[in-house]
Amino acid sequence: MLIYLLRRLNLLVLTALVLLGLLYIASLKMPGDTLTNLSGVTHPSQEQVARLTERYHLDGNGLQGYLAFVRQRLTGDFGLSQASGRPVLNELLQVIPATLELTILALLLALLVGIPLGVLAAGRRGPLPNLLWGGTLLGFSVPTFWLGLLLMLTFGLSLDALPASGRINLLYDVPFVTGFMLVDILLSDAPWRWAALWDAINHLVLPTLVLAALPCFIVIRTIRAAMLAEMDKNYIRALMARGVPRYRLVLSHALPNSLAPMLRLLSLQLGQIASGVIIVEMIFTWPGIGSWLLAAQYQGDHTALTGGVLVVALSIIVLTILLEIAQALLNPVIRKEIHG
Amino acid sequence: MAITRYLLASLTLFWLVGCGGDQPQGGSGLVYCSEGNPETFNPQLTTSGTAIDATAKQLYNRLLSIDPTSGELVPELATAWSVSPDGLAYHFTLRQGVAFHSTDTFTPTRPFNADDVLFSFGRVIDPQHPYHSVSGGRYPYFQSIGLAAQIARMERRSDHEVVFHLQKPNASFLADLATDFAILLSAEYGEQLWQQGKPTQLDNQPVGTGPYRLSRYLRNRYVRYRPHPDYWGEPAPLDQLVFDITPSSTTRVVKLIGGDCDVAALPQISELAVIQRYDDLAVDTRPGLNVAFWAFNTQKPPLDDPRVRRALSLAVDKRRLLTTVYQNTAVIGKGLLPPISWAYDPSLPPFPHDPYRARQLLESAGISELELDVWAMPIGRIYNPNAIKTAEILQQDMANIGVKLNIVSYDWGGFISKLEHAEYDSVLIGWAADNLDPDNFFTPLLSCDALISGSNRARWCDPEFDALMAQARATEDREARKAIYRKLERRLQSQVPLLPLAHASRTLGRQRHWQGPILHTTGGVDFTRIRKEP
Repeated sequence: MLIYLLRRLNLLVLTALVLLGLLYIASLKMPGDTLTNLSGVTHPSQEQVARLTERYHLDGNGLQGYLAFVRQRLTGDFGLSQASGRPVLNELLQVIPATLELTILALLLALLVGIPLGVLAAGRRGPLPNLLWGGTLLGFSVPTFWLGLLLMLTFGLSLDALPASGRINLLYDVPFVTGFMLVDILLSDAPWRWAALWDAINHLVLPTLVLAALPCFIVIRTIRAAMLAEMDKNYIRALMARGVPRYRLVLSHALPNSLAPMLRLLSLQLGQIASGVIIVEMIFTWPGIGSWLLAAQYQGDHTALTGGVLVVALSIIVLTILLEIAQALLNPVIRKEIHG
Repeated sequence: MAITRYLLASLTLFWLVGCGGDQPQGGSGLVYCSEGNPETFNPQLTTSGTAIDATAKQLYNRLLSIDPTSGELVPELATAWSVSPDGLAYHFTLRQGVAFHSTDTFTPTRPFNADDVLFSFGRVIDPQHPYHSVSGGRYPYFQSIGLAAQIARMERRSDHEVVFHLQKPNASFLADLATDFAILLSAEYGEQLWQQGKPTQLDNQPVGTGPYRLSRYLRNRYVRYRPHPDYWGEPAPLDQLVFDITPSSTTRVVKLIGGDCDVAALPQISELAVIQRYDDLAVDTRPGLNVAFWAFNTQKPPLDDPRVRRALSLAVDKRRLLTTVYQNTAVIGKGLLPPISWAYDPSLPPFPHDPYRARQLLESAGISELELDVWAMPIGRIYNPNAIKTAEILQQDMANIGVKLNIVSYDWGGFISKLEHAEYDSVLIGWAADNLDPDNFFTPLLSCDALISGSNRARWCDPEFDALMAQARATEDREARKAIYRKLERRLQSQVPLLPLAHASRTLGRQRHWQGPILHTTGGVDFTRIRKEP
């Protein structure tokens, strides 16, 4: 297990270095002043130029520059946003909780709905399994943006039932503590907090549904496939022959063994889910990292853009590796696949 | 001992009560979905409508302002004013007991007085003023009307009396002081920031005397205002005012329908019908004091030849523009002045649409193969909702007379900064007036002074035209001024440094229960007199 962990850690460091290298090259090749692209200081004074050149080792060779860049970024110095003049890190800390809140809720929803439906879809009797199977195929082929617009049009505009844009009605001046809106509302002692909570939940419904759709279909399909394979195995037959009830077979034997392949597939789809987050944030003007990255892109804010990309990509890498470790804990066979 | 305890208790009670009054009132107030980030919180530094909307009427006061219904000048921070018989000295009596906003970093120790007037205008007109070059040192509106050259000196008679001495008489001086740009800043705040070495905060963390104070600004997200508790006038009608920064006009409409927006800025013309489908929503329209035009770079051959400019203008079919681009929510621009201006001349003939004569004119100018660039704004503005589409229609019109027109566009920031370098052949842009004075349509757009400040998009400097504009400014009598503007419009039609296209209306969508004048013919949105009807 120790060797396995070390290997994963090694992979993490190497991938991160390659990622930083790509971003560094992008910063050098981008139009505009290199120093500005790296530090975000627009129109630096003589003195600032000297200090920044030293800090980023721009007078040295490429490798020194790269190492200085890595040191800056990994110590949390992402430079200043060229559009607002504030540190990129501060802006990131403002927007990341919004994205996390949405993503966590959507993934929870996907698991809560997807796992039972996956089990049901693996059944052998009645029309339900086939219906679910067909349904996931259909859902799988619907693009996120289209689903988002459809729900927005139906529930937001035609029925006028749910807010179709934004995170909360801005008249609720919720103080920023953790950045997670639901938590912040509960922490505040304002007299209107229950109304605000209800409003925030209403705003969450549509984006969460749309974002949860893709992972939910993935979960249903993998659980079903794994369950079907599992239920055919000899140990299950043996248990069945001994008269263990079917629900116990499913819940305590087949399902836990099916979770590992599901986790593996989900971790492979993290990039997909991240791009889904960006699309959903754009459609519902959710003030998270996706909208923020898009704004940075429009405004030609290079430091913000590279900073945001770095954080998103790094968190995907870290999450993938964490999920792999989780799988290794669940399934001893994987631990032996040292080269995985 | 008992007394101390009593005192302590009453103090605590006092503190509690005081805090209670300042408790944020969640859920009540008004959300205005605006179209962008304000570039600055000081209207002196900009002519951008977005920044003016977010600052001028909400955060600040002027010496005087224009009553939107009658068009008369009404007092704000000046209670009375008089003009000397020679028209050279303007004497203002200032309002007493006007309090500035208190913020986390600044607590005013004195009410508004003459020093604040000298500070606010000194910054703009005096290059030696310590604050003159802070935040870039550009005052686009004041530079375009040449304010620095107009004012000989300012005199502080007493705490509550100020006199402006002019170089020469100027009939539009009071109207200029009533614009949204001529706001009053706090000299004390300026001094404090100067000593702290943070002068740019004056423009980012504003302190004014207006009915609202800035509570919080989050870029790309929102601007939040709270009422100014010690406002001198009618207190602000809202517990809080929030500008929800929503650049996409479709999203603004969606939020309006969903109820997250009470008022939505600049709906697209095609979206008006959608808003009108809902019973609880309404559309406000006001004929705008604006003009969209096609400006020719008159310093670039062959456009320095008036015959060529006239030929191009003759080929433009404005009626088609009106139906396709404006969907008939605008009127044809015959001259620069829109029909609601008092100096508008109904007898001015419209510029004809005559491709045949256009070809003849081009031939007589000795031009056979002409290829031109037209720069089109990338975003919709009040005066032109879709400049790219306008350019495409012009492209067809020009093809009719054998002129090839290439459309050029950049993102808005790049567009504006590249315009200042005047590398273009022609540009589709416009002007939204800042006050009711007709001079506002001429001096900022076509004077030689405006060539320097950059708002003269035609790069035109004509001594005869300049002299007429100066004469109009120096004339007090309305009828006489009208006659001069008539002359100016005719000269414009013969020289065509720019071709006026249309005068658009300004619109916004709102929840029906919000009543009150939000839009005025000039200047930014106004939330000082809005109220909720059940």
